[in-house]
Amino acid sequence: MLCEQCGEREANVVIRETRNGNVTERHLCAQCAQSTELGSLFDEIPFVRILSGILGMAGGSRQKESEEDFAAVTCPTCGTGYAEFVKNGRFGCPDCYSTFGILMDGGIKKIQGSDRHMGKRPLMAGTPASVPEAESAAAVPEELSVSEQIQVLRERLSEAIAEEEYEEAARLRDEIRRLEKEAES
Amino acid sequence: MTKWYDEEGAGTSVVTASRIRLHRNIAGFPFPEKMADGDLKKLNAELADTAVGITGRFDLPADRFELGDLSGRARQALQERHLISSSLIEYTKPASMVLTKDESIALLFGGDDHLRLQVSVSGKNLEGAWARAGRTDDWFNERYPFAFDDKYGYLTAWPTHVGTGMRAYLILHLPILGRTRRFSSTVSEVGHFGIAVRNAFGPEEENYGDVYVIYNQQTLGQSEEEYIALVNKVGTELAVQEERLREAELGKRRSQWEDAVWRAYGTLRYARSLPLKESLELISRVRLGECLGLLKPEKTISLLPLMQGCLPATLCTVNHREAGEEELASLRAAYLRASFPDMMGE
Repeated sequence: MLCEQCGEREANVVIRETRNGNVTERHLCAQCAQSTELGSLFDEIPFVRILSGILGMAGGSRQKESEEDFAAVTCPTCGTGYAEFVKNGRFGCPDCYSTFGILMDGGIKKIQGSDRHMGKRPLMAGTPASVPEAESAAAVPEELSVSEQIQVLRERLSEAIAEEEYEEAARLRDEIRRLEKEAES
Repeated sequence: MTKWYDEEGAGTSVVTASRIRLHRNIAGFPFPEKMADGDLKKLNAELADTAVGITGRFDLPADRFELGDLSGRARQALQERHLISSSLIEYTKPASMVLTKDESIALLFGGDDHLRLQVSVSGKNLEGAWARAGRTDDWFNERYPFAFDDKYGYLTAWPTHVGTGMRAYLILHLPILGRTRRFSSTVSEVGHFGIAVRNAFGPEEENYGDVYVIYNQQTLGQSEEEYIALVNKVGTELAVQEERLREAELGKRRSQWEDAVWRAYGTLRYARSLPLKESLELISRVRLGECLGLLKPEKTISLLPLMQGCLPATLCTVNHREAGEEELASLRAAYLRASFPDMMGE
């Protein structure tokens, strides 16, 4: 679907607003979403809405399933839950970046235009418990059961296919097969 | 003590000030929101102790205080001068501040992140502000490991700050450009480059006093220097457009402008009651008059301090009392009568 505003780019942000009990939805591309919504308010609130939009409706048809899948995810370090994160748009601790990393990866890229830090590096950095490479299967928190891990990987697989990242999709497919075998044995 | 913003140079007619803000967190702790109050208080105190060293090194005397010890009005006054964010006005968890007396360095401990570091300088000088912010950043980082990830960079409570954790701000006076019809399309155009334009004063939908703030919306994916270059580029472009329009206006309507700026000056010098919006517009006009050479004040008209001095919480704090709209208008007029310099050759 094309962006409602510019009609040129693919709409990848859904902004849901509730006014007097009526829910309206606007489908925009990331650029238009930023220039319109973010252009009008001083604080971070619209960012949150957009972020929540991206996370909550990441891929149209599979949105419902993914929300149910992730509803149970809670950060083991600080206890921030998925619903709390989507509501506030804010993380509770550095480890949240790994807990919600799977969710964040696409979302953060859409907001920030990039998902890779290029700037200053600290003189002294603490290693957060584990902030794994989001591309790797290790991004799936270990606390999840095998079937949960498979669900998460499937989610990532459909995202990879949607993004036309076929190499990544093939890798995820193999990873899912491996886990499925493991579950059988 | 003179504040940083009292030193607006004569050559900085459009770009009034530059500001760098950094968000940092100490590794091994949850972000403030998820910390127990006792732990947060202890960490804040440790960081504030450390801060004294860096302000001392810059030779800047500083105040240290707990936000919780301030009245709601005093916190609002800090917010009006952009030293804390609006979410901190009603914040109930422990938060400490180290603020240099000239207010050029504002360090907040607690709030959204463990450390919010802000450096402000007058004129167009993001590089200078960044150098100072970077040194302050290092001062803390030599003593505390920061929460950092190879992929995402500096980790912050808001994912909208992650990466560099840096926002670079330029404060611009655009009395002519800001009133043109094409300005709103210019704003959305620069939005495509990741630059946001906000009103410095007035509600979101209405600008009071023609002062605008521009900054990088994104914080991840480019280096600090690249973001600064981007903000500078857009700021310079807006400044050039403003200057061109000023020249053209002066060519076309010199006598009308001359009348308008002197009228504004007269009102500021003699009015007994001034609402906020009108005050800021008059200050803007007199400053424009100075920039156009239509009037020559004995000392330069410093936009930011004059405008900030008109804001409600600041007026209440300075006068040590609560005041309603009507009384505020008369306090404001008194403040402006006292603050406006004489004109040369009057």
